[in-house]
Amino acid sequence: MRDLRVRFPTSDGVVQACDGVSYDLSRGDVLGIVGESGSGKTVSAMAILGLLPASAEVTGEIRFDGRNLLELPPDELRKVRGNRIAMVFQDALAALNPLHRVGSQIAEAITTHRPAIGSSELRDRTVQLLADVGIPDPARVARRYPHELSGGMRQRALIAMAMANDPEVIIADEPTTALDVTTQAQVLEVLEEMRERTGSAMVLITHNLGVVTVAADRALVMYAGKVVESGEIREVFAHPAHPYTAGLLASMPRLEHEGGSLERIAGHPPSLMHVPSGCAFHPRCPRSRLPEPCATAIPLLRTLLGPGHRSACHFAEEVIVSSSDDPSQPTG
Amino acid sequence: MTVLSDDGPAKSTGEHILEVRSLVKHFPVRRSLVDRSGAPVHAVCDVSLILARGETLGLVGESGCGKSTTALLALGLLPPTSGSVRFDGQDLAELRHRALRALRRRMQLVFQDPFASLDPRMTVGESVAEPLRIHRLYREGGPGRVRELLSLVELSPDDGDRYPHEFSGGQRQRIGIARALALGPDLVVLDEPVSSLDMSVQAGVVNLLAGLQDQLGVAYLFVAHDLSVVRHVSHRVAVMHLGKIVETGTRQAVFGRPLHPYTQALLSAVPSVEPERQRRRRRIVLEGDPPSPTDPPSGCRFRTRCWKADTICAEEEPLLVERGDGHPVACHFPSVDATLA
Repeated sequence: MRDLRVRFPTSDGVVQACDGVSYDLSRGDVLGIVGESGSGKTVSAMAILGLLPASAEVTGEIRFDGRNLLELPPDELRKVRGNRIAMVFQDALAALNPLHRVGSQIAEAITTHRPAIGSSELRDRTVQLLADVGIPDPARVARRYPHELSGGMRQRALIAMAMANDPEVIIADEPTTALDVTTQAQVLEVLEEMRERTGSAMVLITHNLGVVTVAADRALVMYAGKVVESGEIREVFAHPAHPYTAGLLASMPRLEHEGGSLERIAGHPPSLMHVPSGCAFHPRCPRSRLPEPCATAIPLLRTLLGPGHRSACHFAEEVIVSSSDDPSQPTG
Repeated sequence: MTVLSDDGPAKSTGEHILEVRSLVKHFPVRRSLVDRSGAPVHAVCDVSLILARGETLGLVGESGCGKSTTALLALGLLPPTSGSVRFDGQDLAELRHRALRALRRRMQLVFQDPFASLDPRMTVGESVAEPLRIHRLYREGGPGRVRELLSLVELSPDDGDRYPHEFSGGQRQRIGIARALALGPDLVVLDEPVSSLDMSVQAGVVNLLAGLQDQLGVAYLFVAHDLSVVRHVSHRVAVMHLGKIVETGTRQAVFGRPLHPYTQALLSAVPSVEPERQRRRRRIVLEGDPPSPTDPPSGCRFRTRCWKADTICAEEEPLLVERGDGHPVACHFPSVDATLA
């Protein structure tokens, strides 16, 4: 993905949902995109699959296997979507059709891309997919309707559907957010197993830093439509180089620590219609130097010491030094 | 049924603001074409809790375990099937309307969704003033009290003239807290108070709640599914599974030395943001889904998902018993598992 920009013109002004997002995803790689609501993380993923509303103005380049997905004609894109790139949505109840049996919806995902498949093979493949995602008694579950399944089972069914054509890339948008921690652990395990079996790469979009730590190799932190930090999970979470990442990590209550006061980030996330000038984080940043450079110059995402560790902060070097100085980051 | 006077028994020793004893709540399920059983949902089964003044009790469990129902029962907003709730020594079931209403002033609720729980057509000041008006306390110094409450939750006193849509989620939750504190309650029930907030604003609300407790001495019943937040805010913790408390104790005991396999599974399922720790520790991934509350398993309700389950677990229900350490657990085979740390 190169310099993806997505704008939504509305009657009240232009919403700049994605503002120059770039990243690479290699085969078998898991990239975690972290951000709060309105950071542009979901929009960036929807753009890959051409699922944005027609009103969206999209520029940039999303190269998949040598072709720019943004320039593919609709029928070519349809051949890719759900086949070579598949998506797992957050809300399985909304993503599944309530009027059709789970099995027939998975079968449809297969026949859309393999119309010639025989009916017995189709049935076997459907049941096999449900078994692969750890659904007990898959033949019986295939005949059920979505509302008859629990949240965890529905999410598994959705993963089975995404895996129907052995995709090369899975885009999982908050796949565990609606689930309890125990079910979340199950679903993450299933995703990992399926990914290993097929060798798929995955873009995992989440607001949960813990989920990223468990499931991803690299992280991309987004704020107000921009990537503010990226790199290996180990680097980014142990030595955050952007005040927003550092702030998020310090503000999280952790199971390992108790009591005391949490570090808090002042203010709240900006509206994408009124993104602050310069660095969008400057009004909330404890390190900002005003007015220059933080309120006047947009900091570029640049590479730091670590391999592939990038930060978009004017003072990234200072942030990374102070975060390394203090291994017991969360005070208290 | 014996009729008791409205003022109820004399004020208790004053140690416990809330005492819940053997609370049971069944919800009837109507027979339908799909479910012919008509068996009631056993939402809450024999739950006992105590909450001291100025203390925070965290109530955790998966969705559907009955924690929110327990909270509503504790506030007297739902009638229990059996069992009792005593607030400051007075049994809610024995109180008549007026006395109950007077008591309600002292117990308040903060909802999960700050977008749904404020009337969009009322100014923030009106919303915060509403409880004062209802209890006829607004006439005397009401506007001043509203400004004071808004400052208390770290909003500007002038924000009272604005409407809810002008505020972010975190600010709205502060308004909800100001409203709950308007009448100077002794107990505030917080039902998932931060789970719908953006992560960068959660910490601010958590800190605010802790600060208010120090300042006002209010007790919190903190209902949440996020164990990290519960660990952070609670003095004591009760872990609920399928309508029952399976383990309870101080936060140090429950989180530091969890004894019930369910508590251990819950804790191990919380992803750590420390990559090294994440790699080191063992994770327990439970098989399958929680059983249905209309037809819970015999004996121990966790046994169908438990790796320690033996024959006794199906035959005999483990009682929530203390072994002299102030850390009761309802398990036939309680033990500390060092590999989970």
